[in-house]
Amino acid sequence: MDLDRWLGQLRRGTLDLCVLRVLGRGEAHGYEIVQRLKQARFLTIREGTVYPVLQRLLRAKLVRAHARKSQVGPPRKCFMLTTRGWTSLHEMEARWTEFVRSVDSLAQEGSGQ
Amino acid sequence: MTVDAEGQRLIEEYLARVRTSLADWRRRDRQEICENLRAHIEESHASGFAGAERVKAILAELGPPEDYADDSRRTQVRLRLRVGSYAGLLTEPFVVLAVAVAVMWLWTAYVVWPIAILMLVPYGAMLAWGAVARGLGRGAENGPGRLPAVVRLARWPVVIHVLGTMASLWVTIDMILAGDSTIHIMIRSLGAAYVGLGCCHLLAIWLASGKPLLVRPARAGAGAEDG
Repeated sequence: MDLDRWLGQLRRGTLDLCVLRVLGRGEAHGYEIVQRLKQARFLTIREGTVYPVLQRLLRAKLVRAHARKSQVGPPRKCFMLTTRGWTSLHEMEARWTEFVRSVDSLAQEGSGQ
Repeated sequence: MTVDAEGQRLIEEYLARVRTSLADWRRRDRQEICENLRAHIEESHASGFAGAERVKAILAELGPPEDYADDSRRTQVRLRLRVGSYAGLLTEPFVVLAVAVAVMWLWTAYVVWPIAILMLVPYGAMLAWGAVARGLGRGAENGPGRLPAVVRLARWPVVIHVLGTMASLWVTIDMILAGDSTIHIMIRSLGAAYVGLGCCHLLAIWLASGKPLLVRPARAGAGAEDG
């Protein structure tokens, strides 16, 4: 069993939720989002993969972008959740909780045998 | 961030790979992703001068652009065929064209000869297909996402040709069914054939867009792709 590959699939599958969660804490530009994700254990993602996810969330109107003035350098493109994004985030978190509970229940059933 | 010439080259090469990897995304989305990546690279080394080695390290952290592609975004709405060095017989479209021309002309010798003019439409299709095959096969020199020069030049007039094709073909069929004179059928047929070639040229432009296609080859080292 290739654990690295399996973990990679897990990360890819949850990246949308992770990005929404980061933005749920406040607006951020792309580099900030990547740095926040890297701070989480086990979320050692390829940094560049965040950007297609962001673009997809933009197209789905779950996030929106605006230019934020920077004290140093040109304005930065910042992302923030839309109302639809907040709704999706809450729904995804609820489903995620159920999903984790279901997976954990299998382990408990197995240990009972 | 100031980058030396080699570092800039590495960045452009990386972004070109990103555009290729996301070839089935809309152009605007690809552009925005590349802009965001540029900003990320700038942010990674906010001040001072970054040489090629530093740029390489930043790009390594970003990861291979080939990982960006998401299977869920591949569109199957339009039928497209991958040409170039992958597609078997289609790698030699001019061979197919030569055989098709020979067969068509042999056949039309026994039939009313104006119909042969209408055969120019499939001939044009194969010719355009050949241009696409050659263009995509030379994709590296054209640059990712760029159309071959042969189709790029006639892009917009072809749109007019397509509209004319629809009208002209309709009128031709109508006149044949009405038993109109041969001369009139010939004139209309010539018009239909001409604009038909334009329609085929438009097909060539679309095929040459470089996006993933219906017939997916197995890339070396990547395993078979799903269709």
